[in-house]
Amino acid sequence: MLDLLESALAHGDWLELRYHDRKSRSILVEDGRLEGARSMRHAGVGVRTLVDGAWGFASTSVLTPESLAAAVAAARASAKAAAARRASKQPRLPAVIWQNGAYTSPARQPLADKSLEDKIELALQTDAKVKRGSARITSSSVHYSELIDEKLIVTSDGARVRIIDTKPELRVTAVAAMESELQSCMVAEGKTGGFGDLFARRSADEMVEKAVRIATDLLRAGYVEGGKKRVILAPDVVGLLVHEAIGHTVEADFVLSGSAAAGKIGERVASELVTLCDSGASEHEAGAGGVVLVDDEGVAARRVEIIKDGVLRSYLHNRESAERFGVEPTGNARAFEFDNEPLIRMRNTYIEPGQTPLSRMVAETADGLLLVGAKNGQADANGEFMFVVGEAYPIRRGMLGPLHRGTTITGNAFDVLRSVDQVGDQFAWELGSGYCGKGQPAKVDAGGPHLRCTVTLAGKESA
Amino acid sequence: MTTAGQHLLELCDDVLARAATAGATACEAFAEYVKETSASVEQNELKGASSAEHEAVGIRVFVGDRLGFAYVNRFDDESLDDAIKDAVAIAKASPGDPANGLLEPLPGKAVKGLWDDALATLPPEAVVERTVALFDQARRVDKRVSVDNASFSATLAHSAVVSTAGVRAAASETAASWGLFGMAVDGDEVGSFDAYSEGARLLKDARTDEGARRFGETVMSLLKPRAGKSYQGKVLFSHEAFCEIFLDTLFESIDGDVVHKGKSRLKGMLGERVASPGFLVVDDGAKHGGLASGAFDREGMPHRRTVVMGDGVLHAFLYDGKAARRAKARPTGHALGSARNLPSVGTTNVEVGGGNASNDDLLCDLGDGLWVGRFSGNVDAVSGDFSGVAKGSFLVENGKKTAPVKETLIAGNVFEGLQRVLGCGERRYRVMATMCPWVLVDGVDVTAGG
Repeated sequence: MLDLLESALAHGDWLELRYHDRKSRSILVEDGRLEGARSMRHAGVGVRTLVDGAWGFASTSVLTPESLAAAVAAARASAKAAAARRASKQPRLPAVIWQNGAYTSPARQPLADKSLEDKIELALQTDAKVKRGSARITSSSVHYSELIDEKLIVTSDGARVRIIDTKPELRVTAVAAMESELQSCMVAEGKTGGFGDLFARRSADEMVEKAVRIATDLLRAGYVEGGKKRVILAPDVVGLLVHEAIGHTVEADFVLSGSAAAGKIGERVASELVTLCDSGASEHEAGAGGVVLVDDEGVAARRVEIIKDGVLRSYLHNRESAERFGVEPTGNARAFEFDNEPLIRMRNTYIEPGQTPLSRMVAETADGLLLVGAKNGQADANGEFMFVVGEAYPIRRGMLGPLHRGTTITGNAFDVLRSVDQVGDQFAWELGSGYCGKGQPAKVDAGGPHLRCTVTLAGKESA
Repeated sequence: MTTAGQHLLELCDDVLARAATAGATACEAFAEYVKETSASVEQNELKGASSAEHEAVGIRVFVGDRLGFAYVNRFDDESLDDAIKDAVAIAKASPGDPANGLLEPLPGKAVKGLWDDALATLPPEAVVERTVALFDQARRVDKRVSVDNASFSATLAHSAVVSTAGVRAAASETAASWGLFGMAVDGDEVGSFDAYSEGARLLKDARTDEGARRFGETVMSLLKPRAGKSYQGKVLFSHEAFCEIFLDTLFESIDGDVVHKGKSRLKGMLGERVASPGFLVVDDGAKHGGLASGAFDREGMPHRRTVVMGDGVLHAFLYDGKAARRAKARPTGHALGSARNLPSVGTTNVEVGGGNASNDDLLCDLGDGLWVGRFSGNVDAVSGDFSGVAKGSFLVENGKKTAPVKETLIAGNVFEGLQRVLGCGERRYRVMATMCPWVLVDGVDVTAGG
């Protein structure tokens, strides 16, 4: 395959050829019934070229010299058509010190160690355990999926990279009912690696136990009061905050569009206790779901300190934006599949842990809440966000109270980070399941320690 | 029959023969070829253009009543055989389900207006011109309009489905789609973002100017937001907000499979009033020229017009083959999906409304309150409870939109809201394949922040 790709480079202009062979499986069980199991193979080559300052892209799933040559010609024709109408020219891409070679994401107990039958049985048995978990459980579902990727990236200016990567995921959902009341809880793990990574923190049985316990406990849970509150955010809520509300605003393409982080390099944007990073590696804890060793431009995916001690230090870049900003590319160019163009995307985004144990954070909070269970959320270009959290635990005079129903939290992410006065000493990756969407999906992860800060909560009417 | 269609039918025939050899007792192959030419503006600058071709087959195999599925986009002998082997292995490892099976073919009517030679042969230069025009039209409103992304694409697609139950069909279609995403930037102030997207089957219908201008005006109008007002009562939802909150949940609740599993609030309510009198929801996948129209659905069944709700009364649920078998109902031609997926139930072209009020009338009926442009929040599809932030929204005073609002939360319930529809606009706007008006709903909680 490498020879085939290299032969297509002999066409003159700058070229990038990315072969991506993705094999994936998905097994969905609902209420004891196998709703769907599927096997997919999506393979081909994406061709990108830069002609007279404009980009051209084409893709093909036919892996012959003739088909690759046709894709190169199509990419060049597209680039030329765009170049004729582009106002400013991208003069060149920045030079890269290539770290060519083969990269394999670490995996404990590789996915190939379990047969298809084993994986179907895992999903069926796990679903059955949810149903047996409590008489209150009325509905259950379990979704297992895995991505197995092989990539080869070659460019006319020197990249020669081979990447092997595997990402498994398991989601366990329990729905509990009492009279007309329905409550649900989903517990998910999404990792880079193998089964040893997927179940490193908790086994499938422990995921079942948590999903059943939270769903049933929520049936009797009270509501929290709305308003501006001192809160301790659990690592999953911290992950959602740093990914959705901060991370997207520092993607260089979004910065160029005028995001809230534009022009703020060197400015204080958070409490000095906050250091926020994005890394292709799994820092602090193995198996993060967004591990990218080399990005889809062939650039090493390095750790980026976005905010250092509260000061904005860096945006996230691909080669093009790095040239425009006069900085080094950070290895954030990612394409979901061979027929997608690489975009600037996050990888594993997190806040560095501090030194305060959770027990002390709770003990030193006179009136507040511990918020756990990031469910979903959206954020705007100006940093305003709206997140739904699944569990709220009131804190009164330093004592943690019982589970209350989740709520909606809102505010401006930078204001929230400025309000941080305690950073926990324990770290966790929490957002490795599912995908980030930005025109195309991407596997990412996010997390951090517990953070004490101030947010606005919706009350009973809005929860 | 096009040459491409014939090629896909032959591919499907080949898959069925290989599946029989591999041990499948029944099989369906759904093959597709898609070619998309597109261009994009990013960060107020033409970025580039692309041309992507894609060919793939989705293979549903049955071993008795056990189901397996595989997808592959390479058609050499080894790749096809590997995929079929995988699908058969999945079937053999799966428990049986009496709802699994194939549908017998049904006659359908030709659906017109789905193919346009001009769009199918649109060169990259013309796609670039249309993208630049879309961007210029938005920026012409005001230079403070910042376009994060503008794109225009021309797509042609051929598809074929063949099954051992006798289904054999092929079709070709074209589509143009375009969209804008961005915000207004005025000095240090970054306004709330807005998105606009639209599509057409024919090149002559791919008119971008009005939508682009409306997008530019919308993002400009969102500068300098102020605090809203807290109240409980009437809220006027834009077509987009009504789709996001109410229709997406309603569509999930009329999915025959969801109903059968007991996860729909509308279970057992056929023939009952579930919305205000006059409220209408019609699905029509056989509509000539419709964006979601097709000669057949994902299982090769003909699409048809279905009155889901008339005068507020629920008339129908939607089914694919499996959902119909489980519910002991007839399939309605609503199996959706591509070669990558197993068929699943979904809507096609939907028309919503039944009202005859002008938008000004609706604003007057609201009087003082909130007009919701977009919604950023959570909707529980089972209970219908929703809560989130009203984005791109305006304070309405004395029947006029007066100022954009910030950090304003709205909350309510979809199913209760449908029973409290006070009025629908006569003018309907396209939200992809759904035509929806502004809708005035009572009983919504509004909590002002900021």
